[in-house]
Amino acid sequence: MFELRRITKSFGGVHVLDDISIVLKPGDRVGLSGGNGTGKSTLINIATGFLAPSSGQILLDGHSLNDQPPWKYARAGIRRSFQTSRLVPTLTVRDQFRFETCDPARRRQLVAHSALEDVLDLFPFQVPLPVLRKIEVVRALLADPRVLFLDEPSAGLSGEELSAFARFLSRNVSGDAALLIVEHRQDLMRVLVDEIVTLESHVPSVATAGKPAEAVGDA
Amino acid sequence: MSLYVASTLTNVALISFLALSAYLVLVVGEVSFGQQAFFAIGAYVTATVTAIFGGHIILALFLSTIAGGLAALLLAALVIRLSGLYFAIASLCFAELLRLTLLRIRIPLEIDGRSTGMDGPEGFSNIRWIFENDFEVTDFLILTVVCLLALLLLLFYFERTTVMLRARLVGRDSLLAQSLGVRPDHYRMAFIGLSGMVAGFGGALFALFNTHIEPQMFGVMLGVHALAYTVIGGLGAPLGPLIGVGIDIGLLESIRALSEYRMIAFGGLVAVLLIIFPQGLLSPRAVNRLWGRIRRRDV
Repeated sequence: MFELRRITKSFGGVHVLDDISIVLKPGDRVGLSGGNGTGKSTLINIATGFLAPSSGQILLDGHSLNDQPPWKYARAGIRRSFQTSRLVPTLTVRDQFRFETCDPARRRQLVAHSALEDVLDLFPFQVPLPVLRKIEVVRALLADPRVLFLDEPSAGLSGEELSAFARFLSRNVSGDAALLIVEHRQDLMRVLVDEIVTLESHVPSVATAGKPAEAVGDA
Repeated sequence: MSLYVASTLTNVALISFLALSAYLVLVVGEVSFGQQAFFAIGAYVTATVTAIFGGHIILALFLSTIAGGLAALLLAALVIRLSGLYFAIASLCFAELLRLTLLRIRIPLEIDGRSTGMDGPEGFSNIRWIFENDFEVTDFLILTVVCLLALLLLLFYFERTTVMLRARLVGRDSLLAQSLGVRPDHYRMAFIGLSGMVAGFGGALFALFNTHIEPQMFGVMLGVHALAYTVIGGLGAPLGPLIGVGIDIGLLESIRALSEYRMIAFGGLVAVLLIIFPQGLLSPRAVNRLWGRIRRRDV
């Protein structure tokens, strides 16, 4: 079981996350929504070791992962995708899948399920965005993750591509893995997740009127 | 084969070891201006083992390789938190520190009536292994080329392994590497250590061939050249650095008419090549494309 317990995060004086707790059990499908700047990506960065929380605990099976580097999270089975697709530009798609030492049969099966056979010898710049997104997910799935975080995986996908991508995800993310997905597109959320957590902005909205000097409190 | 040609080819092969060591560091994304330090360490260790202790060449090569590797690991351990420009400066400082230290160490010895041993700026003379074992220049050329080919075969095999793929990932995108469970500092340490071993081995052969070594031979320009060879040759395959060495030493140095203008010609050539081939002649993408065509295989 993966748990984010009472996570807070501030950047300087700006509170981005305030007392957030999320529990992910095997098979959970959770969507994370919220407006811009509510800390969705920050939360994924904290949950995968890329950012340290200001306070709070990150637990896997009751063991703390606080202060551990991201590669330890990954080796513990906590995998992620990035908001902008992140592949090695000089490697073919086939080689993007070779970072993991996984069972070749499993690799073949995933590639076949994801219909990526035709692009295996292409470089990322030769592949359309929806396929790049799929490649990133397949790369993460090759490690048989226990928890998978996807950061806006549908960004840039058309409606048709989106439903195909949703089908692909629901078919290929194994039943034992917990999935947390950050997504603006409610249609993807509806198909994929059982529960939606909504983050709200903790940055105070400022509505001021008057001359610029007065508005910034300089009058 | 004329003595001149054999000497030039041997020099190409010897400097190739240094270029390959710079290549191994570049693979993990770091730029080292200090590979000449490990080359120097290998040279001095072999000089000491063969000329002072009368040790066997195999022992000398082995100890030089280990010494080069350990020195590189020491540098890596000291500066593992540095990267990019800071690592480059640290490696340069390390190499200069070593060279300046070698200039200060004077332990002159007399063996069989000949002065030898470390003698500061005068260097280490009478490394007579090549004469004592009746090695002609062509014999030494064969020895060097065989060693270089063995190293190349090893690296070619290594290229297609998961370890090398992950090392290139670390060099390309350290954050992505971490998200895939790859520990970047371990890969950096290991590859910098390996690079030191390769340079140390090359330095050992360099000392045997030249029979005299001195600290000035291992100056900054040697390290800059090693790096330039790799940059113009490309990071796609171990053959890249060798192409760079071949162009500079094999081609430019051997054209006598260019001898005075070699550095200018080489500088100009590097600039032109990098404009036309920004990723070097054997870029990773070109090599991977070629490899994909040669060996279309299952996932």
